[in-house]
Formats: sequence, C-alpha cells, structure tokens
Amino acid sequence: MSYFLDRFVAIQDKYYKNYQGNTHHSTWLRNKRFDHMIELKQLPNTYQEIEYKGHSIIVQGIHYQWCDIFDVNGNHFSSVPRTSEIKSRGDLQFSTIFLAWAWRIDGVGVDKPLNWNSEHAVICGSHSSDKIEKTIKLAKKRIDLEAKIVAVQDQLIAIAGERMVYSTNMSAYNPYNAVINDQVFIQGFGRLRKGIIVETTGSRFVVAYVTPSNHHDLKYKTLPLSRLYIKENA
Amino acid sequence: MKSADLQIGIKYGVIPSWDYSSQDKKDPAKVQRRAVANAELVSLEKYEYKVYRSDNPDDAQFTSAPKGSRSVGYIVKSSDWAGNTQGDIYWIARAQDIVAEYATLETRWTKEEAEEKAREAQWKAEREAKEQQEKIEQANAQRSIDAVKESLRSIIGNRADKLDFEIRNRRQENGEYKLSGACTIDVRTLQSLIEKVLEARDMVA
Repeated sequence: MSYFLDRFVAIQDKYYKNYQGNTHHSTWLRNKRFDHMIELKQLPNTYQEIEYKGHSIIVQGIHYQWCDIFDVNGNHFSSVPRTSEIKSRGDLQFSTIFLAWAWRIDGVGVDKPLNWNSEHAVICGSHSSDKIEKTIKLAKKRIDLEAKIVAVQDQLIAIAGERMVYSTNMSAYNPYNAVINDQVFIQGFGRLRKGIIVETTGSRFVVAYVTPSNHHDLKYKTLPLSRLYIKENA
Repeated sequence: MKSADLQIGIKYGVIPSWDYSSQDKKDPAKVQRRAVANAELVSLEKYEYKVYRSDNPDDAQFTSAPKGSRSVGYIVKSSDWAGNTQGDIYWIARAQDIVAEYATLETRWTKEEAEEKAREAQWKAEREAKEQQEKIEQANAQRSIDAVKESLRSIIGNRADKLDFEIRNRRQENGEYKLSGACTIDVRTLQSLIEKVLEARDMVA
C-alpha cells in the first residue's frame, strides 16, 4: 500500500472499523429505504489507489450483504425484531457503492496523518456509483478540472479580496458574453466573490474561486450566464 | 426539434442560449411568446455549443464541432427576442432549444391571445353588469332609508336624526348577497315610538 492509501485506511479504521462485519436490522440500505426491516451486514471495505496527474485518487468500495427477514407467519417486520422472532430469511443479496477521494501529492498537509477523512482532500468521497470504472472516470474528470484551477491559482488568490455590492436588480450586471479566463463575480460563501471562468459545459460556466481565509481550498461553481455578474465600469 | 428536421432559412422559435431552458419552454404546446426568439437558421453546419452572442456570424468564438462531439449547435440569427435593444445577433442554438417553426407557434399564440381577449371582455362585461346592479340596489336602499326617515320625523320629530341608518350587504335565502338598509335605534326613541303607537290605537278605539 502506498503512503496515501495507508493514511486513508488508518483514519477509516479509527472511526469506522466497528461498522465492518457488523450485522444489524434496518429499513435503510445506504440511501435506499424499504417499507420493512431487512438484515444487513457490512463487509470489509475495499480500496484501490490510482495516481493521476499529480494526484492520488483512492476509490473506496463499501459493500453490504443483505436479506429480507420474516416472522413465524411469513410477514415482514415493521420494527426491529428480536433474533428469536426471525423464523426465515430471504435470498442473500449484495450491494456495493464506490466513492472517490483524492489528494494532491505535493499538497498541503500531506506529510501529516489525517485528522478526518477529507482533510485537505481535492475529492471528498464523492462521484459515488455502483461501478468502479464510472467512479474512476468521474474522479479523473474532476482532477482534469483541478489542473485548470491550479493554473490560475495565483490570480484567484490575488482577486479573492475584491468585493461587489448587491443590487436590487442583479440581472443588470450579467455579462453580455462570458469566455474562459474572464473574471466574474459569483454568489459564494455568503457574499459575491470574484472568480475566474476556467471551463464551460456548453450551457454553463465553471467559475473557480478561493476565499481570502483559505487559499488552499480551490473552490468552483458551475453556473449559467444569469448567475455571473460584472461590476459596472470595471 | 430533431436535427434532421431543421431547414436553412426557416424562422424558428428558439430559446436563447443565455436564458434558462426548461421542459415547458421546449414544449411547442406550452411555450410562451416571450420565452423564445423569432430566429432564422443560418446554416446546418455543426458548431461547438457555447453561450455566446455576436453580431458577426464568423466570430472567432464560433468554432466547428469536432467529429463525434455531443455538445453541438447550429448558428441562428435574430433581432426579435424579449429584451433586445440592438439589431441582428448570431448565436449557437442546440437542436433541443429550437422549439418549433415560429409560424405554427404564432398561430397558436394568436388563437390563445384572441381567446384571452374574449375572456377578458366577458369578465369586463360581467363586472360592469354587477357594478350597475349594485348601484341600483344602493340607490333603492338609500331611497327607502330617506322615506323611512321622513315618516319617522313626522312621528318623533328631530329625534329621527339621531337614528343610525346604514346600507349593509345581507345574505339572501338563495345564497346571494344584496344591499339593503338597516337602522340602529336606541331604546328611548323606541319607547317614545311605542307610546305614540299605543296612543294612536287608543284614539282609534
């Protein structure tokens, strides 16, 4: 295992080890809800690490096995049953979800152990999918975008403190056109913040920005033209 | 619309790329007049889709789409869209943002607007009839109040001026409301009125 994976598994084991191998009854299977109780067991997590464009991507697989449980009359339970009440079980089924995490290899704080899962992470357990290839593909796409944001990082830090006041009719401040590398104001973290357009998605613009208090967290938002603003006479 | 159905030179109802696009706007049966531009398709060449408007069809921002690209659009030209203050401009519209031929949309809107106008005229006529009716009721109620007041004056004198008359909306048996006069009378006035009546009855007897 590499350094980044070791570090991630250590924090996972510290906080979530007890969940793995534990059998319990619930109406929930991750974010899916049943109208009756099921019996589920979380299997040991799997991890895969990929190095991509100066980032370490870790794909965490969370696996469950679960089955329906029935009482003496063959009915489902609507509340948590006692073990002795369960008379039969349905077919064993499996459910898997893959999440992506990523750290910049020469990033901030990589020399220290993690205090929490997503400390200084570029990807914080998102791009979830039941197919590992899809999660990896989405994570790589995010890292590609990250490279574009890093390229303008110095400019972002320089403009982070700039301000624009709100107006009653904000649509008057929408730019007529917007292209990559334009500097625009967007709504973010409680006020209008200046950012740079780093990418377009056809109908929307990806605006990168940082807050003055945290230059390491390179943030971005994907917004339509009507949510971009420019200062008058700027 | 489907790319295959598009034809050069035809005027289409097109949702501007810088505006919000929604299912309702894309539906030819629901789209409203101000949601689309009356735009002409300039060419059938596929361009990389982006939100950009220019007064020049050969603008450097309009780049041909790479082969196999899914984010493509067609150049359209229009000066007829909500909020426009300038002449013809060009932009790239996706096939899904080209709603339908403008003429067919125009037919539907004209029909709907005519219906709306007729509906409004009917509402106006009904409102005016109701107002007229109310005016008549108001006048009738006021007339009866005046008549009652005059008669009372002849019986109880100036005390009649101290009575409160008002016009109220009263619910009828059929559920409708009708204006009618009402009077608040204090007990002393009522007493003297009753005395007068009893006196008169005695005189008759």
